[in-house]
Amino acid sequence: MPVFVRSGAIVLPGDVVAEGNYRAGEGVMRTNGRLVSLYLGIARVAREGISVTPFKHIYIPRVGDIVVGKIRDVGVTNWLVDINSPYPAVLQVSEALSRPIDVTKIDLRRYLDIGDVIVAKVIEFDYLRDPMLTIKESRLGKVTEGLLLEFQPSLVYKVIESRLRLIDEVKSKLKCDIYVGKNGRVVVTGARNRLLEVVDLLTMIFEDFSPGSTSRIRARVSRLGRR
Amino acid sequence: MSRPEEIIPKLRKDTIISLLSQGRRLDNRRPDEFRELKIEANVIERADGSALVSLGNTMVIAGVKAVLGTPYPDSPNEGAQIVNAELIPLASPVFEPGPPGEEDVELSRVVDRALRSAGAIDLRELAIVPGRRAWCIYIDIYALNHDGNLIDASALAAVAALYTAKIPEVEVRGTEVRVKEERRGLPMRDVPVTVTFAKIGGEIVVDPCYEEELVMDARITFGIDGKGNLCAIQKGLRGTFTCEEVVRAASLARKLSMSLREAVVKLKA
Amino acid sequence: MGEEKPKLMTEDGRRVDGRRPDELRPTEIEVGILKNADGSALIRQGKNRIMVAVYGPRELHPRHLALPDRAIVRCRYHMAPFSVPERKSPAPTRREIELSKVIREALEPAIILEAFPRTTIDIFIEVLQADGGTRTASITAAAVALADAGIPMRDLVAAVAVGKVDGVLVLDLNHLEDQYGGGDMPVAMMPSLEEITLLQADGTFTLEELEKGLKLAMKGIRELYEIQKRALRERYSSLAVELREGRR
Repeated sequence: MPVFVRSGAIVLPGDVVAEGNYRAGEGVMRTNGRLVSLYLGIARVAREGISVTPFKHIYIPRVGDIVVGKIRDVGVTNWLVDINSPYPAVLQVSEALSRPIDVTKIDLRRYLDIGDVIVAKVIEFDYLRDPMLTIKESRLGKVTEGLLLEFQPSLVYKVIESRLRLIDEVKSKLKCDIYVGKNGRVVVTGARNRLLEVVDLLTMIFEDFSPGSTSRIRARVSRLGRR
Repeated sequence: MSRPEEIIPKLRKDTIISLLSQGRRLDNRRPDEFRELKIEANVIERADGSALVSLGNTMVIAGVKAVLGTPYPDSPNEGAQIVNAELIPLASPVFEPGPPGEEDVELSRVVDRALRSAGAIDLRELAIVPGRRAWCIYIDIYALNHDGNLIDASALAAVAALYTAKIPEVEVRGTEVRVKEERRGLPMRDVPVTVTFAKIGGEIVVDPCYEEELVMDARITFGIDGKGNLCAIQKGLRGTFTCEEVVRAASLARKLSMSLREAVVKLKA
Repeated sequence: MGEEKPKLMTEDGRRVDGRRPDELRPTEIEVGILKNADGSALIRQGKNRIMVAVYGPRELHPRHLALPDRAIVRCRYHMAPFSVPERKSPAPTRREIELSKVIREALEPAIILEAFPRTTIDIFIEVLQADGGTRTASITAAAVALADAGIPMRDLVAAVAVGKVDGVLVLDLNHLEDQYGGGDMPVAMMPSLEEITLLQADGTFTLEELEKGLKLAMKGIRELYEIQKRALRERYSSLAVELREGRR
């Protein structure tokens, strides 16, 4: 029973990746006894099955995901939050404040206004209703200073673990906080006068895939903090 | 990098303003610096003239078509110039399909004004049979990718397309007009360009990118002709400018216009 | 029109542009040139220059147009005024409205719409220069743009028009052949699945011509499929190499 691709190969929608009893992982569909790729992406062949990770994909919320959101609208009992997804999210007042408030007397704008940036967690999502968020856990909440960056929320997050480790190194060397949302948004706080350096590095990490880029990035990060 | 959106978080606006106070912009440009400009002419061979302009990531295409028509009654010895610009949804998630809106129309009219006031096209040379037949030059401008400053990119595309255009020769016998195979250049008397500034939190920057446009308070465009005269001015949005700011910007626009014009003139070198 | 019909086929079976009856026009596809669009492609086929942008899946406004269990697809086919010899008014014509619909219906079967309930996938096609066969070239480019956008598809879709010139079936009509020939049959197909997603015809075809014509179309579609795949692979080849390096 043949497999037609190796791990790391580029596959296209409609490409037959295997024939026979292999398990169809993510990004792969079984048709007429054949496993077919659904995406333009990278094939992964493993014992558990064959999957394809797309180069580009929009962000679909998953329960438990940490995301960076922007407040889009303020309601009476909740806020509408843009999480860089075709599914706008809802933050209920009960998931934002630790004490109950009287919504008939208090304007929610006091706490979060349109344009504010929050780091939140997805607590509920089925496709029939909008995803629900919370900011009540630690390290979640409104971001009051710093920089917001947006990247393609796709393959890079799932696969480039070595690059994500570099981000931890940048954080500790430059003593700043970097929140990487699963939805393609990154918040950098506390970097003060090295902010632009951090932005340059993050841009390289998430967008530069020219030949030799990974080693260049590693070299730059290791040179950090040697002032 | 960023996905363009209409509500920009205050965080981002604060960042842009604080960078500006240090004389820096998001993409490391100086306040008086244009993005990289590329102009390719004759990209649509079927059109009488065409140009594709890239200004940073902003991409605009313009096509020129000469159509035989009748002159306007109040200018029987002149041809006509019609500018039509469209911000099509292909270029940005913020453009919606449908008939031209106020932004499309403003863009068309500003580009038209710059061309007309500078006398760019010699309309009198386009009359064929006085009062009856003249060339009507259509300039159609389509945004392909919106990353800010569609005005300057559109004006450049229009002027470049006109500058490199070739229209058919005509033969007149009495009142009969015959279009010949041979072609000649469009009669041009000037090469105007536009220079647009954005005012962000008190700072004035040239050639705003999309993100800068999202946080700008006001915008001003200057059309500059080949002699250094101001041939069009358009202020936009709710913010304001002082007289001093206007004059300073106009002076800078005149300086910056020279290399823009050079890029167009080079196309026929 | 009152013009003389041009000679469309020479004695030795060559067409106006020198092609043999079963030859495609030179075709090139560039992927990802538009930065704002989620996916994009520019196709050059003969003198055709067509730009396609895909946005989505994205939120749909007004929300009541959305479907609860799948995405909807919206398609806008438009010809720039300077794309045709006689300047065309920018307002949408009935032809553009019909083509927007059939192009959408040619691409929808390939898209896994159930993956994105309550969203819209928007396809914007702008013909910058037209030379016959713009609807099929648009479909071929749009499929590439959809794949570039990371939208899951059962297969790519490729399309070509078959026509009749002096009684001979020809592949990939150019403008002259379309205007003066004896018939025009655009065909779109998902090549791996061998399923037809668009089929139209004008002029007249016998049953035998229909069958032969479909076979001829399939030949052209398979060639276009290879061109689509090559363009998509090239776009990401250096990225794929870096990803393999990066895992070490």
